[in-house]
Amino acid sequence: MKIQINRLLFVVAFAILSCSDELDLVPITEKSASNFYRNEQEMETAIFGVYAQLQNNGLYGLDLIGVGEIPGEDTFEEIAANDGGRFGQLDDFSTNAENDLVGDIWRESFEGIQRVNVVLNRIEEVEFDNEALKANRIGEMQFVRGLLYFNLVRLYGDVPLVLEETINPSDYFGQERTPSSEVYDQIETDLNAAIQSLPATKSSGRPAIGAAQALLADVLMNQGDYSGAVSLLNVVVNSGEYLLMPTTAEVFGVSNEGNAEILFEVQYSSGLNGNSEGESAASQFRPSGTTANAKGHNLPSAEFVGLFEASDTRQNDYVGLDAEANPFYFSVKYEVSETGADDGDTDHIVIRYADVLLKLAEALNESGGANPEQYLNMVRNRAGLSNTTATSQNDLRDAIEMERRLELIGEGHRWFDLKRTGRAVETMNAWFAANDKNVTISSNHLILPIPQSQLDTDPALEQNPGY
Amino acid sequence: MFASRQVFYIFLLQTASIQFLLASNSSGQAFKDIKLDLNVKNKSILSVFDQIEELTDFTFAYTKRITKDKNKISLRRKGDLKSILEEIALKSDYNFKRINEMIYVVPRKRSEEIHISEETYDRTITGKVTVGNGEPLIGATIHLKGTSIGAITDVNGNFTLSVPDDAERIIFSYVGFQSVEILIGNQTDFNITLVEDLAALNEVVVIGYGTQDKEKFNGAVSKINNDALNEYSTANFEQAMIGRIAGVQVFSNGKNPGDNSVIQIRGLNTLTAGTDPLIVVDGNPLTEGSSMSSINTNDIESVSVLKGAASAAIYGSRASSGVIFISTKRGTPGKLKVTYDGYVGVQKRMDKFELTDAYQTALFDNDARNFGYLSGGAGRSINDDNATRDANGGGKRSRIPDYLRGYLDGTPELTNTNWQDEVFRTARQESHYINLSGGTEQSDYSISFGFLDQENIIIDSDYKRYTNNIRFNTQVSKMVRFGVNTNLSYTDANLTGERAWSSSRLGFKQQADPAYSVVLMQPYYPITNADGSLAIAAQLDDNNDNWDGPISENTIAQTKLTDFLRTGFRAFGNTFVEIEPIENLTFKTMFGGDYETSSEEYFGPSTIGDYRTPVEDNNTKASLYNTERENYITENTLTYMKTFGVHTFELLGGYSYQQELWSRTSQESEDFADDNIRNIGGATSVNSTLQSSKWALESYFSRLQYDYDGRYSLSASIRRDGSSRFGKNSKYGTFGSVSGGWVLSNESFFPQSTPISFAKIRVSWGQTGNNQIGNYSAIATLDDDNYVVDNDLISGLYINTAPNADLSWETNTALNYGIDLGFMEDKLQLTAEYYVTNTTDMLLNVPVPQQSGFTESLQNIGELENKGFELELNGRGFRLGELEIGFNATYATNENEVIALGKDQDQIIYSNLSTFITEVGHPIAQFYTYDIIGVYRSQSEIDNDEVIPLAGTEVGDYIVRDTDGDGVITADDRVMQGDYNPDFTYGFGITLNYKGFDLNAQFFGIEGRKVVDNMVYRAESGEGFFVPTKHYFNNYFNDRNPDGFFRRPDFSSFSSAGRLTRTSSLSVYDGDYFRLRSLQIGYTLPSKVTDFLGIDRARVYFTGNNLFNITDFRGYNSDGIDTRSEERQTLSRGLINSASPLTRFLAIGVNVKF
Repeated sequence: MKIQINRLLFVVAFAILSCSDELDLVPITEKSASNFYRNEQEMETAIFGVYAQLQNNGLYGLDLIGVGEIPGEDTFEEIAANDGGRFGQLDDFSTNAENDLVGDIWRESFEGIQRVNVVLNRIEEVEFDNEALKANRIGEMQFVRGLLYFNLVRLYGDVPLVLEETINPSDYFGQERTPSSEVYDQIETDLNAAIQSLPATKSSGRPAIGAAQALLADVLMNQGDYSGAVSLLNVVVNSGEYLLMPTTAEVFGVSNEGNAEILFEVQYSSGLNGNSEGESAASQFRPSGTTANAKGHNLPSAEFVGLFEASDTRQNDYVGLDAEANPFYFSVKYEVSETGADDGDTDHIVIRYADVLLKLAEALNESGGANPEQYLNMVRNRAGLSNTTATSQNDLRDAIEMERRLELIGEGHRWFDLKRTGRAVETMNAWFAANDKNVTISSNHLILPIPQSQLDTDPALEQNPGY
Repeated sequence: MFASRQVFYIFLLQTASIQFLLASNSSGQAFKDIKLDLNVKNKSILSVFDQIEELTDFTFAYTKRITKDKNKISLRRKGDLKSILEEIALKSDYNFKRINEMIYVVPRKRSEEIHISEETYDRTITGKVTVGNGEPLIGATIHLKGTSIGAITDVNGNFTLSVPDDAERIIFSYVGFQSVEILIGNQTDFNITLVEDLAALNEVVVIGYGTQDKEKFNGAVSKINNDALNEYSTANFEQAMIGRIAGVQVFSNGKNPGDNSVIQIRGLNTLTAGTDPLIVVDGNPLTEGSSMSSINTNDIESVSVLKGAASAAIYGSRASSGVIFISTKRGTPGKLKVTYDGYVGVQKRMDKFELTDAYQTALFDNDARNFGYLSGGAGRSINDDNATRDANGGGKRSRIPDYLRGYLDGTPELTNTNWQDEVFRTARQESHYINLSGGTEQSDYSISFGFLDQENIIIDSDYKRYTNNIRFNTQVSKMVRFGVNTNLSYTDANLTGERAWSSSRLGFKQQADPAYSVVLMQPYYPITNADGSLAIAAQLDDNNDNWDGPISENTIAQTKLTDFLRTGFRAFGNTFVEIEPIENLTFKTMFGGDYETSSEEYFGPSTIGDYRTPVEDNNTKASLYNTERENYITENTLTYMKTFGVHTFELLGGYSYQQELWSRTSQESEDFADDNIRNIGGATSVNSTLQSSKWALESYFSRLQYDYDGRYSLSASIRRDGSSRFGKNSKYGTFGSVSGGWVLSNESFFPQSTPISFAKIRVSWGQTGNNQIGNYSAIATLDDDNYVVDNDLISGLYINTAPNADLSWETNTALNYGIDLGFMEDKLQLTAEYYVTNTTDMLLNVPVPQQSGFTESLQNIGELENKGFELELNGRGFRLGELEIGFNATYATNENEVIALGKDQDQIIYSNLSTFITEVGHPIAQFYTYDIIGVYRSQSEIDNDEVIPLAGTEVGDYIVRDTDGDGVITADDRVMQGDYNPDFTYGFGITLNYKGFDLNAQFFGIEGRKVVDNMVYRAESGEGFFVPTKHYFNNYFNDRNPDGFFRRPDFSSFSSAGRLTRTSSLSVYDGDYFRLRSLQIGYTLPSKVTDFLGIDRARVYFTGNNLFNITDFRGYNSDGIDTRSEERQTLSRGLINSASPLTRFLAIGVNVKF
């Protein structure tokens, strides 16, 4: 009996000792990178993951619009202290390295770049039914990476350059910032490659050749290469793919989405996916108290609104006022939705034809090209204004600048325009002096500080001068 | 441990006839005159004694240890008893000493000679031993002090003992009771009542896969028994351990009754992996972090805490933060016993967080609005009216609300709402517990039912818990034993929000916390309208439209009109079968399970607003979260125990496998046609997601324990664990331990005449692992990030965690030194421990450069060291006349030091509302802020400062110390400001018994803790948005108080420098306290009364928790660090996000036993 029980114990023991495969567990409700990106469909999902990143508040959902505009003289922050001074500090150039916006734009841009890198690293191995479509997708990704680095280099100056899929995040400790000239070179490489790969005609939510050409032209203009920009922009204009909408009332708003003036947009929609697919600019860029989560960020000033000529249709079509609720102007280019705060339905237009035309006018004017005013006049005429009276290069320069302010208000361009034309320090100091503000800026203020969290994480990064 | 040697010595085997003292005549004969014919072959020594007892009138008395002597004796002899005993002595390790009819068996040390002595005493004393309720105590030991002479009581509690004429003192003792020492004098009859010992001797502690006498355990273990636990009335047993066990800290933000606490044993041993100790209930290891409140404190018989790797290595991978063993109550043989414990009481907040009233807030508001306006631009005057301020671009925050005038002028009787008074209440709490237990020789059972009904001190929140615990054990046959333990609980809670000051958004536990929200509720606005209805949106709309103050919904209305409910059911338990196929070899197989399901619901109607969202813009919202956890374990052990003379071995081998499947279905919606149905069922469309994950752990383990003669002991264990959470290349880890102990007091050379009655030194070394990370942390997983094209939702995905195929165990290596001392018959016991623990290959969520596309990455890097000293002192059985006195004290220190971080990395700076630095050579998570040395009181002070201040510094901003002396304030001037880990903790208590009265008081304190409280620093930031604390109000720089040390308030144009110094040396608070944790005063009804009532025992008591609290901390509770696992970041330990106030609890209760 005893011996039998001993035998039994051995049997039990052996039975127990043989189930160690149980430790190789894989996620149940999450996908894992090692068994994804295997076919065209999964690749498409990853590519939408890249576009989805652009929707975030650190990018086109809010911050990039604010940071591109609030430092300029046309818009302001109703309550400087709001949201920890996130935008208020931009307004009076007191931005510090702990400002959340500084950290968010940095982080979300690099997250987007990493998403692109993952796709580019893996897409070569994946077979597509249509090889041309695969080329298009590669071009789209290069376009997005070029766009994100272009934003980074304009906002922060030198930035670390990463073009590979991350295998071990710790590998990046000690990486120094790449000189902005090299970052610009990479942006041009990406955009030139994209121009080779993208389709001629736009499909919804995706860039076509024209978007890459227009963006590259902007990149060149930022480096002073106006003639290079002229040839690119001429191609866009002559392609016939894009045109100005007949009236300024038809450019923006949910009902006008996807119109022929748009070269590239980031799409938003309200009431979807637990109200998570909307943008925040519509509610937060309203004067406080006028709608849910209205924060009075990035409001066009009364002084600015005064610049519209009487017959200019844009005063009504682009700017709103609810004098009873709050006597501040706001941009109506974003519509407040019914589904509540921070769930706006309006797409954010990154590049549109009016911008292309004005850039072409600017590039022609700067490079001594013929008839820059014709493109300026196209935009003016559409707004109900007569042709410009400016003729000299200087006068045209001012006229184009003014037109850009009026046409592009609320879209996040003014500050980048001031930086591109090299007039930021002069213009802002003059404006501060004229408006009795105790602020003086220097060239240090043209770029943001590097986020404190990043300096804290890796001492190899050095802070920008003046911060 | 601490066995009083004399007591232990005479402890009689229960199987020995207990009627022996009534044995007939005293033979009076000498051994020499007693002739015997004895024939035994290969028998145990006990059976030899049995034979002699049968043949003579003598009875043998021996210690329990002798019963374990497996030595076999053969003896064939005809002759006198003396020579027979001499021969037995020769063949064994014992001497014999006869006193009257008793033969005492005395272990003989090797150096000693064989010695058979005989004495006869004529003097006899008799008596009866009873317990408190008058019941006779069977088997109690009575012995003559300083000798081995003794007796035990019979079934009626009676005894007879022959003593020498010069006998002076006798000692009455019984395991689990306090010994009583009596001067004999001329007395011959003794009626003694023994009182239960709260800190029982000869403790048996649970050490994992078995138990051991505490005396023989060489690691660090502390134990707390039922009585001590019940002195603190709480739903959570862990709260009752505070101050009773050195080295154990318990933190809780206590938002809702029944919420888990964070238990921390011997400091932080890890930087980012989990820090939960393993909790094992009756052999069932519970999931780390699972609800502890499903265990009713009343059901707990004892809690043993194994501290550190050296003690707990047998639990290998799961023991790096220590192991807590909970033994629930078992029945004892005998008739059915019914006990009832119940109390009814009230709870109230008792913190120092005080906000200004309306008149003070108005002064502050006026200053904040004016200063903000003035500093926001040139050409502004304090006398500008609101229209001028608007015209100058001041914005709504520069306007002076018209109603402020009345407050500023001191007009009496204006609305002056004290929101704190309305959010908090005196909360009722009651607990009822009934236990039925009993057993036979073969079986024992215990069944209990518990009910707890507790109101939260925050309005509209309460908690009901029903518990049931069943234990049953039976000896089926000589070889087979089995048992069942089950624990069921059901909870039904009406919750309060937990999420600081967010609005009542959808999402798991995203609801706003009323206790925090008070800092955003201005006292100018009423709670109810004149007609008694809730004043919805009064503040929200007025601020939204006119003043842009805190755009908060009435927190009382929000609390009352929204629903936030949770129900939970949990069943855990196990069944085991134990087979002893051959003597001393035990096979045990256990199967256990833990099933938990909970349902959490939120509903917010469209009739109220949310933060920054007016009523008309608000939607009806509802969510439902169903969470389920299925966990099972199978565990098989084989134990072999053998004693050869003075050598005792125990060898254990085992295998266990445990796995858990967790899932949560989340349903959320903001799409409702109306508010008619107050749950997700009323939604038009629902957004639903499923999360599910699984882990598995496989372990092989073995342990050897060896004891030599009760003097030396040695133990070694090894365990190999495999965890599904780690990388392919590194799933398995091996952990071992070695320990040794030396009981000096059992040595022959140990002086007998000192007051030291027990002395032991011990050393242990061991390794454990930590695998408390996410289930699939080694795998790069993808997360959804969807896109929309033409308003159609389209799936998008991205990699959200970086892969790490080499991710593996974090290892803890601990060295523990301990000394145990007993004084004065062990009435006073002292334990001291010193430990050093090194954690290597730390599982660290390293902040990484974000150009990698990631913010953090989980890796095995670095090294951490924890050192500490612990002292536990227990005294009992001291008497002053009829007053019995007992006391206890604990003292513990812990310091940690980061030895290494990642390659080339010497610091991690981590920001989470405040900034923390974890730097090599320093403790974890030091507060890292600017050091404030004053306030700039004029522009000339700024302009003339030799140091260039922070950019954007304005008058009224802080002067920051230039710590690096480079003449300019930069981020490099931030300095360490201390950490949350206290320098030491201390606790002490006293127990008094006088006749039927008992009193127990327990004190606890901590020293050297620093803390940052998010709510307090915001209320002291001067940002204008938050209602200030009185402390800030009384001390901010302004015209009325030009010497104020807090920065000037500024509502609308808070300077950049002000932002950077929002947390600073001024927001690092002193978190020390000293509290009367519990006070209990009881009265046990005399037996005359209870006999009349027909019950065994009845006691009534008054109890109080936190009767006083001495602290400088201005927040709710410095213990209130966040207990949600996602917010327990070690790198920001010491940040209190939103705590609940410390409470004072008063109750009356009864204990009745039938």
